[in-house]
Amino acid sequence: MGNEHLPDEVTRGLDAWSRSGPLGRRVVANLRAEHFLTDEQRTILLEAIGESAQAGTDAIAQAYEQQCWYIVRQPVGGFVQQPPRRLGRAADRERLVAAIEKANRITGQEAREVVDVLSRGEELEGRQARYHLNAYNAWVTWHENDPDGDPFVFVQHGEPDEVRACLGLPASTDQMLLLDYRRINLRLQRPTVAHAALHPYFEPPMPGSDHGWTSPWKPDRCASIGGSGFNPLPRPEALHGRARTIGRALQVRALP
Amino acid sequence: MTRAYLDRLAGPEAAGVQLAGFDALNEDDWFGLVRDLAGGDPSLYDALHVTRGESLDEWLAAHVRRLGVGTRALAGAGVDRLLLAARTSRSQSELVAALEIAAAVKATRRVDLYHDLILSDRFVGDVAETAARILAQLDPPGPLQFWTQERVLDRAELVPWAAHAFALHDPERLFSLLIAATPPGDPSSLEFPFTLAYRKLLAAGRGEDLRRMIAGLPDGVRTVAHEVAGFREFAGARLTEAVADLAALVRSPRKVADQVLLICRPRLLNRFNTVSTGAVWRGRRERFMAELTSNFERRVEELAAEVRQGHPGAELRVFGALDECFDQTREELRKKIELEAGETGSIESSEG
Repeated sequence: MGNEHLPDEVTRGLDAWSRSGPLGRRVVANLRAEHFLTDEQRTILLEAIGESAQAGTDAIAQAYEQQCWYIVRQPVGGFVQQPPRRLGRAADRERLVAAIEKANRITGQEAREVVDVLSRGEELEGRQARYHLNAYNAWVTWHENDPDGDPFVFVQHGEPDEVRACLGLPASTDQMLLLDYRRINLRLQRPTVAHAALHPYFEPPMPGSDHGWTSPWKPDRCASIGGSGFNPLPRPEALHGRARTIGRALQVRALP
Repeated sequence: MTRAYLDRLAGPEAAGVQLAGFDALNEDDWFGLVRDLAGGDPSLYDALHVTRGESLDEWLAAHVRRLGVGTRALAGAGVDRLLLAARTSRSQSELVAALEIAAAVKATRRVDLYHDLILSDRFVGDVAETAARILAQLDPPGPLQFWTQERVLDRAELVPWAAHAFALHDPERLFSLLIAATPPGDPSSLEFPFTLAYRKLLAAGRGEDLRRMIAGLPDGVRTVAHEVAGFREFAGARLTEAVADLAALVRSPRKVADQVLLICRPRLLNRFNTVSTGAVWRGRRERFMAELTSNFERRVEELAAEVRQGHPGAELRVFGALDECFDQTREELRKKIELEAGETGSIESSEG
């Protein structure tokens, strides 16, 4: 999108949004740096910005976000060509419960029990063994040098914020769960701005990249992690669609 | 309407959303929050530290679960106002969005509102089912009689939620409810209600009655009830009962064998599917189970004879006997199948 000619209303919308605050600045910069959307997908996002430009930056953000959700209903960004066999997903406990409840349209109590069973390292039985782990696309990481290696090899201090910092997840006081499972019948998508939508911790993959890299917390936010001087490093990242629990050799580890 | 809730919830990025902030919200604040969440206000993703790939209702659910009862009640009052506004607007999309938020909160002062959403024919099917899912989870529950109306029990999509409500609050009546109800399209949706009901009935020492209650259920529903009884959580207690029956010789050995096989059937089938791959076994699962039943019944007869002769602990060998019978039956049947195939020349390939 760098130097191409854009309609005036799109340019006005991008400029206004970029000046509106840190999130707008980040999203617009990411949109300019995005390489893996098709022309049609990029046009959809730009048109949403142009059409809502006169209504203000809140309207721009809302229209943009809605079109992001629309676009990612189909695979976007291309598939990872050399995917790992073992995947890791980090989630706060209650966020995982909420995701499982929504994905399977079950009660909160049942979703909580599913997470408890998985956390104890036991197998799910009956229909629970076929439940989905996520309602929407799931963001995952892995061991960058070993396709069968521990996806959380980077965790040195065993602290939840260490994981959140490296993966660019929001701060929380909830217990963190690390899900470790086999990539069976799952295709990994390269992440794009459409997947990130309005999430501030994201950087689009560079041209030629097979997958994305996380956008970690700034070091000055990590003062309390591992004593001091913790410097979070980016981790490989991609997304997959809805995944069932069954047959994945799923292990769940809790961090305090 | 102000967005005062943001001042209390949207703390510094490094701290994330603090649960104490929710306790400071009044009913107006809650209404503002749930209204903006239902409307998909984009500024909330950043302000409330919503994580990647998470929807706003999931964010709310994850936080509400960790709040105290009083705070959740205020949240419920805010949601009631949102639902009333959506119902008045007659916009199905607004109503669906409001219900997604209501499903995250699961609290209300207006149970009648949910009754109306479930029973009214003014709304699309999803509305009734989602409202029923929320209503079934309320604590304290609304009146249980609501679920026993024909207008509810005739609708298969509502029956699992009626079952859930009864499993939580009156598990004994769950069984008569399911006899009167239209069976759900997917009977396995009753697994969790059965799980909840068994826990309560077993804790109340009603395990013996459970057999009678299950026996009266309609076919598909009864199958699910039996399968749940074979889950890890319940199988242990039921197998202990079977062993006690065998030790006391109060039941015929054949009935004890059938009982153990019924409890263990899901696990036996699972084991069969895992180890018996290849053309030799294709379509032969039921034959295997029939022969296993026959072999196991004979073995339990032998164990019962040992019990009669006063051999201490003979009844405890029933579990090991089942494993032995499984392996023995499999080996014998494999030989038989290969022999039959050799005679007819129809064998396709050896066991996988």
